[in-house]
Amino acid sequence: MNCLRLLGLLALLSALTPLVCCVTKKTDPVVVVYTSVDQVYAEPILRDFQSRSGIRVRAVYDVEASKTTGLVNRLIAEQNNPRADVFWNGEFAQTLVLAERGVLGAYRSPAATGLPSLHVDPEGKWTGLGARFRVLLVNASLLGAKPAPSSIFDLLDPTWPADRIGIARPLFGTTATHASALYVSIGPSRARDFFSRVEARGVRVLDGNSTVRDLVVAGELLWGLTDSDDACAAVKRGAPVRVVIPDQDELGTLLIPGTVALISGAPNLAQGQHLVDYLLSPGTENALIDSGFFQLSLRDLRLKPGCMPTGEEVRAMTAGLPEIRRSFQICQQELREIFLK
Amino acid sequence: MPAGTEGDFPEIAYPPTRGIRAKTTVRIILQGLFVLMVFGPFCAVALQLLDPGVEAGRSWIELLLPTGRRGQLLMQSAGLATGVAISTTALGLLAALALWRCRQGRLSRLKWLALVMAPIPPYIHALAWMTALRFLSGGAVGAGPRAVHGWLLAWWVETMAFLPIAAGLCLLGLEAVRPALIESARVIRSDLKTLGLIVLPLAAPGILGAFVAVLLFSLTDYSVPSIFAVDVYTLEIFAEYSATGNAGEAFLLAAPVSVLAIGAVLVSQLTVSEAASAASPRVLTPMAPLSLPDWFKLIEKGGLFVLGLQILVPLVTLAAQLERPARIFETVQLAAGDIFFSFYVAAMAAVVCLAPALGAARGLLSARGRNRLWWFTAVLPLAVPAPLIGIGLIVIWNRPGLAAFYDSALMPVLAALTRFLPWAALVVLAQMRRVDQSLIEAARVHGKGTVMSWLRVDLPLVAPGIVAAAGIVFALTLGELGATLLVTPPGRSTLTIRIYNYLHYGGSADVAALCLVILGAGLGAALLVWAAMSGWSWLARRA
Repeated sequence: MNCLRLLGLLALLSALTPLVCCVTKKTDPVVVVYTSVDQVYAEPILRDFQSRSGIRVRAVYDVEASKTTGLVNRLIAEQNNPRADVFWNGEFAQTLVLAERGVLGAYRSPAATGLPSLHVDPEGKWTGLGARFRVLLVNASLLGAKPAPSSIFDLLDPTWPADRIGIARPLFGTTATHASALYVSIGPSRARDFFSRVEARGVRVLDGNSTVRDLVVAGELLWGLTDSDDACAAVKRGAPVRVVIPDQDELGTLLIPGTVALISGAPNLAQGQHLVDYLLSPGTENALIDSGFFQLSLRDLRLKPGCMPTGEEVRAMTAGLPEIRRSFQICQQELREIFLK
Repeated sequence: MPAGTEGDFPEIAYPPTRGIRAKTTVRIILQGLFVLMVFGPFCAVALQLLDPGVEAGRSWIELLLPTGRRGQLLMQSAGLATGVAISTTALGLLAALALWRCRQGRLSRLKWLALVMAPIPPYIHALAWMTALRFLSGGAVGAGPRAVHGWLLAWWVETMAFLPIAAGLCLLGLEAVRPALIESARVIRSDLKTLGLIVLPLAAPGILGAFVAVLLFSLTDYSVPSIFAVDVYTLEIFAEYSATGNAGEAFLLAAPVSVLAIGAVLVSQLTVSEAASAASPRVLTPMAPLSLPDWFKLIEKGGLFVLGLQILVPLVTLAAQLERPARIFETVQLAAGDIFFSFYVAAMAAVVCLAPALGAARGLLSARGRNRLWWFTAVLPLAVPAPLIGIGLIVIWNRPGLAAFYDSALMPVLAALTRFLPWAALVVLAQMRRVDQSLIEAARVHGKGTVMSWLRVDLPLVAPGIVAAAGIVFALTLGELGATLLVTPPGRSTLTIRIYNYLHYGGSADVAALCLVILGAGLGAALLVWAAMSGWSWLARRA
């Protein structure tokens, strides 16, 4: 009989689940934001917006482990009946994909004043917000007096043992974007040749930029190519590492501006615009620089106080964002042949 | 009549009563629910291929047939998965044998703790083992020929990550063996021969189930191989999906993995059906533990040692990364909403899966002739990459008028059901196969009616399998990421999503604290299974 009661209870729970799950929420003004910015950085910003504006923020966060198949594909799949109001991306390549696919709506935020035209979409479908860039993270203790690498082409330098230097797999995330930018900057054949030689040399090709950072911090790698926010997180934690901005003589490093966009057909349009304005404000950009997610303001491209020498201007690659996006697919096809076999 | 009883009892022709008709209707509804839940997202993604709005990059044939580099990748994946499945099943079986033979004392009560690490994502196992190896080798995990060490590490870490599931399924298989048969064999054979000739063949459903489960988990896992720079086919699917955003094409690319999965399950089931029919009917009777030679006990203990290592290494490395209690409290407090939501979703998935799993298990139990399609139905979606299941759910549920459902916790529950319902059905099936059919026949003859006898006899007899299935679904749902990420309602997040977020940030202390919370949940699930198995023994004694 006890068993019978237990099973009866289970059946009742089964039947009630959809009802319990779908209890109607409060009717406060709400804004839905999908963001690929790390939760630890984005959460305080969104909380601040909520307390200032009285608009309840409902966020969905992405993770690096989803290999860029997370929120962007969710937005594409939801395109016919959008649920999100704002897409706040930590980089730009996937935002351009969404713009191409018609997922983003036009909105020229008054808060974008002062941003260079390069970082504002002419159709108003996205706007840049702060920037990270690609860096070489060096284990200073292991390197000793030896001069640090200064270019991504040092990955091919035989004086560095190949199994002690590393990059993230250039098929996902910002490393994929960096590869695409190289295709544009130095030409497809030179870029292809560069990556072929990196692979042939046996340079460690790792799971992600954070893995590169962790292995440099652990001393398993002498140095590796990663993102400035990952590198600065290691510096902040007191790891024996140094950050080098590569290719400052000629090529420049890849700048990774964050992007903010309003979703086409956003269900809470006014609240969405309000959030976009807030995110694009210099105050938010500074807060993100202070927290270590961004290292540059797009308004002056000078390094802010943090893990690198302040005041320096970062020389960026000249490849335009749309060109980088255009070369992305062919670059990926070729790199898959090299790195996935 | 179920497969297991054929040949032992004559077929009795019962006149169709209202109760039987109601039972059949309920079974059809539950089976329909199973097919809808499992195949709905699968079909929705497949239909994307017919969407004229989606730009087709390559031809279907080109995507479906893994030739050249992709063929090589598929072979590599199959090789790694087979290696992992063999080692995990062997180790799991040895550990399960040692636990199974402890029929009395403390160890017998603690044996279901083997499942405790099941909800910890393989990625965390990888990080734990990398930390341990770095500590043991003085920071030289990267030393040695890269290709060799990558494969070895990926194989070892996946073996460790999937060992709890394998040990649990092997243990279920062993527990299903009828003690009376063992006792009969012991009269004329040594215990070692009884083990080889009677116990293992009769426990084959569980053992082969473990092999196939691990094979599928390994085939579809990209996180561990990716960490150790091992190229596998699933990474190709993700790279394609990431570059093109075309779910239909990614679905076609995943088809060869599905074919491998179906092949593995069908081959295992051909073997299982023979073993199962030889094993029934069953009545549980007390049994003295098998007395095995010392060398065998030593090997068994080796398996048990590795099982312990699989719990201890992540536990110690996680504990070593914890910071002061105030920081742990702060992390857990910050994640309180995610913890609650994760447990809620996992509990709901565990509860809701039961009814359709029962229906599907009944279908699988009678899977003969055309009914063998049931195996195809249950297995096909197991090898579909999780993000595609998420996309399928979005296509189905994101419609005007369904916002109340779509923006609710129902979506991650559905994602978990789509992914793990087949596993629940297989676990319930294992329990159904061990039920003594004579009890059910007797209840039908003497009972108050079909529905009441089903509620009072059939269901309590299958109850341990139901609770075990719920425990497994609970554990797997807690660690789910790929599909959940795509359908989690805005404003909600799960513990696993937060852990992966911290991993990127490099917050190892936070990751450790939250993983230990998951571990606590795993412990809860293991205790649930233990309670179910104890309940089963109690019921069996009463019967």
